[in-house]
Amino acid sequence: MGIFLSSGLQLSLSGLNAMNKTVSMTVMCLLLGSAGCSDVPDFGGGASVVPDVSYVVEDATASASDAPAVSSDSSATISLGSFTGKVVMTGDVKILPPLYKQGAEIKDPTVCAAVDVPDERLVLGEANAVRGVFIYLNKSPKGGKALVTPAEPYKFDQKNCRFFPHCDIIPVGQEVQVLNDDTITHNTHTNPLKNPSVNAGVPPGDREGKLSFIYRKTESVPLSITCDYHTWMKAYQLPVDHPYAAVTDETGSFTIKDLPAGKHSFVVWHEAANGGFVERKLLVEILSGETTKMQIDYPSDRLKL
Amino acid sequence: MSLTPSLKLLTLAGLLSLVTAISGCTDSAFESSFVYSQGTLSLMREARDGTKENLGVKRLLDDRFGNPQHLKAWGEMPIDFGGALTTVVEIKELPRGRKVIKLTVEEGQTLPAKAANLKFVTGGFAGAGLHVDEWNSETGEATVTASESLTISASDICAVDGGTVLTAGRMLYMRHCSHCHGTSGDGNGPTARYMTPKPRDYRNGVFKFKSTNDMSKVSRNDLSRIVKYGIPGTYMPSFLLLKDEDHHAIIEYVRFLALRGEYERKLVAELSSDFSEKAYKSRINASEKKEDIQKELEEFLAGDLKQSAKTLGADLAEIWAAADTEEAAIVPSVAREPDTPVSRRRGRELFLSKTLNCADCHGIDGAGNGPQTIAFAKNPLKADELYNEPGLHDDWDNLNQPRNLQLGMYRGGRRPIDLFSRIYGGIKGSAMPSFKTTPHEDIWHIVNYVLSIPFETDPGATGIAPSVAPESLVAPAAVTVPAAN
Amino acid sequence: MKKFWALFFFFWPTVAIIVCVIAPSRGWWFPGAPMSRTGIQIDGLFYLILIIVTVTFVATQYVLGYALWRGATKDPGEKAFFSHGSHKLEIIWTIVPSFILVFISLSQLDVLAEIRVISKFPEKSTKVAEVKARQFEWRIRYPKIGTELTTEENPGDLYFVNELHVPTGKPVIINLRTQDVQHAFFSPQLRVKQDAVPGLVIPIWFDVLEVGTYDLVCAELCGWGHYKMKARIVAQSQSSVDKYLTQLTADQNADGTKSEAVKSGE
Repeated sequence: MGIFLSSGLQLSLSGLNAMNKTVSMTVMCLLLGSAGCSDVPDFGGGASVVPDVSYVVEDATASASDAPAVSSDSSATISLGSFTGKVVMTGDVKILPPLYKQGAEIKDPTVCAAVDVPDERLVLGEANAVRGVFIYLNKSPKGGKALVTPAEPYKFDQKNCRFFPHCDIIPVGQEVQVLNDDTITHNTHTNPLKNPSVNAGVPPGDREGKLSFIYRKTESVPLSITCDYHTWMKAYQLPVDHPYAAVTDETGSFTIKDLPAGKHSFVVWHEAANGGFVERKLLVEILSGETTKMQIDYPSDRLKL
Repeated sequence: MSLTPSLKLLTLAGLLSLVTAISGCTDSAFESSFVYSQGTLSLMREARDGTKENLGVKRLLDDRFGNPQHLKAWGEMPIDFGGALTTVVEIKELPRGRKVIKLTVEEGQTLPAKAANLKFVTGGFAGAGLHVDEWNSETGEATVTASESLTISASDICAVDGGTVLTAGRMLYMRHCSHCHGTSGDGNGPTARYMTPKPRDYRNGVFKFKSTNDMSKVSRNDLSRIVKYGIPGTYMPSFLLLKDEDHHAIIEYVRFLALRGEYERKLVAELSSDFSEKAYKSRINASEKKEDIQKELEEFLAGDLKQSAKTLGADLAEIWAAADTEEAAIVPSVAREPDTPVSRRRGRELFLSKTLNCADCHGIDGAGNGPQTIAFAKNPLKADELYNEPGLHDDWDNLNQPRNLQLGMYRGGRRPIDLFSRIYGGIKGSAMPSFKTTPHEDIWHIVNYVLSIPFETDPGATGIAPSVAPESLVAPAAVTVPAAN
Repeated sequence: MKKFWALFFFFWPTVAIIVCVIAPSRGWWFPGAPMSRTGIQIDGLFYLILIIVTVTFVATQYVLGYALWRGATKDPGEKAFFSHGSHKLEIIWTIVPSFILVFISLSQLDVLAEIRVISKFPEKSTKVAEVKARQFEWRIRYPKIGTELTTEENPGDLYFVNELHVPTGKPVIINLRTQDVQHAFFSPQLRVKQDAVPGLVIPIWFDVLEVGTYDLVCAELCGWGHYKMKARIVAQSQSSVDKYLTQLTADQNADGTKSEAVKSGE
């Protein structure tokens, strides 16, 4: 702006004819005028703009909330079947050695290294059966049974710096009591996506479950639970709001009962799989009154160890 | 007449600068906008932006929270937007074009004492406003003047002086807070790049220094304390000199931003495991068809996500409203143990014992140099990837080492109740767990010890090894502990 | 044309003087009356210098204007008056101003000493608080009730931020420190200003005359928040200050339970 002013002044003082002077003066006036721009009201996102507020009201007619499963009729009108099977690892099988051997120099060795610390990421049973694989439905199917939340609390224990059980399904609404069978403190730190996370210390030798929490929402993938003092400690839990979820046991087997007949898409998830999913959509046909048996192959090249 | 070269140049330059100067004078050139979280940006495009028939995360969020120039007040949220949301009961016609509109509020809410304008939200008159000539706050009758007949009917929803607190909050926030905390409360304002620790990112809905128990959200009182007294040891200054109503407006706007961020997170959590870009790529690799995935997404957006958008709002509202109730507050069951050398010694024993293991992070002399601070930690939300630098990290993936208790710098406050709350409730968002299973007397002993650490003449000289259980200490060894005065 | 310039150079000094005369009534003057003893002395010095300078200003501007006017209105044919200067005049207008300047510098020495020299601080002044400036607030530390303020923190010290309570009617000392960069403790109404230098503890004293709330602002550019680094100085009677400190002690020892009996650590 100053450059134009000074050059304009120079021109006006030099012997220009009137026409050119007028032109340059007009240009400069326009420039000066636009430099103000102060009569444009309230533009900008800063502290001077006064925002307007409009209210948002949800529809008063609340759509009937889709309760996960409504089995109002007796099961006689809805045909149910079961799904059972085994998860078996195929391809080159890896046997994981223990994370730490007994007596290793890890934290609190008298407790945590009193016995070998197993690597629980991949636990294989007989004939390469895989333990700890989650098989579940993402949401309750039409005509499925409602979840019955157990009244007694779920006991989640830890001994020798290991969580017991390592993997499990937790019904939504059930109280999870955290127990501690060690003489040292652990802190239980959950990492869910949809539920609030818990991070609290558990006193040594606690058998009453002073620390307890409840999952209120179902998760779409299992969440991990760690201890921050002993960072190798890991457990996985999947809160579900329906009864159609299972975890494979030492023999790699699982059973899911009372599924409505029809095609269902199951999620197969394991902690050591790349990305977690062994199968995102395992299509299974359930026939009324029958049990569908299936062997789920878990290729070892899916592993990410 | 011909123009001299210098004049030609001047005219050209003048016209160019005129054009550039004026082109900046439009509204859109200077508008600010809310940012979307990393989670939203890493979803599939259709999930993020929506499809022809269905809304995606961005639209679902913007429809309920708006943008900084045009804010939306979602009545579901437990925020004091200012004024009140009322329902029309009846309209009476008076002579000379005057009308009396009778309004009522929901149970538990009160009509404002003064009212200057009405803005209609639903019904035939939606979007339009009326100026109030007279207001009777007892009966909720507003007298307006309108020559033509108004298309207002009973059970229309109308905002009385709506949005005044939110507007004031936004303007104050932009002046005082946004340069560090960012326009969207993401802790990434222009000055934030020069700061360690970084300013709070509200969008997790997590605030570290609160007096509510570990599963509750931060209360209005806590936010008020932080704004009034600042956080020593960080760049958050005290705003004591602002007026009380300014404090209130800022806090409501901060809660607005936090709720917006949390709502976005929850929407993304519904979609991220199946419909993020990463998931999409792995599904394509697992030979799923692109059309199938998109069809599935379309169905999800139309059904589940639409439903969740409502229930998530209700859940959030419940949790946040609960934070201000008495049940959420941390109240010690016993008064503070007297601050005697015996209590401090007991506190030190507990500090070092395996029952609580404070020394693992805070160090045996409280200098914040325990073994955890030099170990590489895993990030559980990123498939246990190791962090780049050793030590403990917070929820925002910033390095967040345990407090050096020898400095006497207490970020969350130096009152005994503040320290009690840190221990009992933990520090949400950081690696400090909650020790709510510890008896309250023991926590008070630790509080007494911690408050005395800055004045220990020889820190760590008590000579108690960390792994010895407190029960084995019978006769107190010679200990330099400041005398109780 | 020449007359125009003569009047032009007569006009602006006149405007300046008029503005100075009407300034106090329009509020373009000091931020209120001085509220401390040294403030009154400082204002007195200011007025002294102002009077001296005004007289000089009027005199010189009048002479300038007169010379211009004479030059503008003289007859074009008039012969110029040649002068070889006047040695006497030169000596006079060197010696007189230097005397004035020496007078000014000597007359303010005792006020300066009273404010800045620690040995000249009033004998009965009490150390009230330590004010630690940090970006962008003022952290206050009062000594525990019944103890002396030291440069180290002691258990039981009371902490607050952005609000300093001092008793009126007696000289108080505050220790000024800074936690990070240079700041300056400036209270316009109390006419107190002192830079806070990192690493130093600088005592400042003032004697507040009247009960009231005064501004405390930062006067050394310390960062982007310098403009809003403001605090309150609340000057009250000694009993009110004691009551305030007792309340602060109770607040600082709050343990979250409602029992009155808890007053631990005293």
